[in-house]
Amino acid sequence: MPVPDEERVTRLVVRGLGVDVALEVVGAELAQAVHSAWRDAVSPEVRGTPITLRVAVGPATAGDVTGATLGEVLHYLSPVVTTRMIDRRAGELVMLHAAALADPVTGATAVLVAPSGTGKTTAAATLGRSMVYLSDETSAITAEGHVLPYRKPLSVIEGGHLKTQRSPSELGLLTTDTEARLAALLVIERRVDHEGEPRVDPLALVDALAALTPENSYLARLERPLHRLADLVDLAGGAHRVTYRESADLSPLLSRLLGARR
Amino acid sequence: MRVRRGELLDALVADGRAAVFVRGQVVVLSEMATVILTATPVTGSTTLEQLTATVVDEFGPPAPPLDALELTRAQVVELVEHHVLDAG
Repeated sequence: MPVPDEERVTRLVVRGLGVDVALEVVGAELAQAVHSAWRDAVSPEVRGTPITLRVAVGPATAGDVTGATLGEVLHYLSPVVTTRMIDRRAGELVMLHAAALADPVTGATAVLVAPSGTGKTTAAATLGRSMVYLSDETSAITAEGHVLPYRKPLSVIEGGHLKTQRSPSELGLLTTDTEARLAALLVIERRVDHEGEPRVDPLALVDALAALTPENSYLARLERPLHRLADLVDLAGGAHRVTYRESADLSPLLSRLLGARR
Repeated sequence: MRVRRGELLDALVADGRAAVFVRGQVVVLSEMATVILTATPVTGSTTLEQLTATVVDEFGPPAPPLDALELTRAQVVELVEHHVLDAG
């Protein structure tokens, strides 16, 4: 007897921060929506032992990630997947609350650090049309300076009480594979009263550490965490604080910084 | 007054100033506080008088009526408040 569409389970593996998460999605309609929103993170193969999450429309008992509607499930799915991935890499990677964008030719990558809700997604969605989009929220960096992509859906305001989840490629962002390596580390601050070109201030190392530490996940789990961060600052050629008004204004700055670091 | 280092997860000195990771946050120290921290042994304790001598060696005596011991004491008390140093 065939399984009804609403009970069919579709397995979808998504990869971010170098971690595979297997989503067991209940129902054909939800599976299609999840696949559409997460298509840029979908992995054709599984590496290692994936984290498994059951995803369903329905009461909390229906799965690990649930909601009353399809939109609610998509809304709740992203933070759960992110948290599980970050948990898995604790003690291994520096994981910054940061957008990451790479030069499509060289892979030289700018990491833009900022607290939640202060412009990372807007900056990533603007700059990712001409640069390779790696993440709008969490930038995971290895000790060697490789930046691992996490192309989860972006939360977009389209009306309604929940933000809509759109895949990066659906928003016109570049998602080509690239070997991304850290080349610029910027603490960004969007100010509506800022005038003119973005202002760039070099940060002394200890000030950079103080600015970066609150925007880290699980920093204390790393061995000698400040030295690990300092090594990344060194790999990036120093850290800078950038004050700007419009995210498009950052484009020439990133081109200049990354061009100089080729 | 005797002090020892607090439970520091990590500390790094650059250009005369230290960043210290303690109790989940980074504290950036002034140049004087950095001298006091580096003069405090990793194991064991030291005295306010010994720290004052190191500070005076590094920066010279303060102009009167300021007193080196009291200036150092104020800085040490602040470091203890931030758990960079522990008293006793």
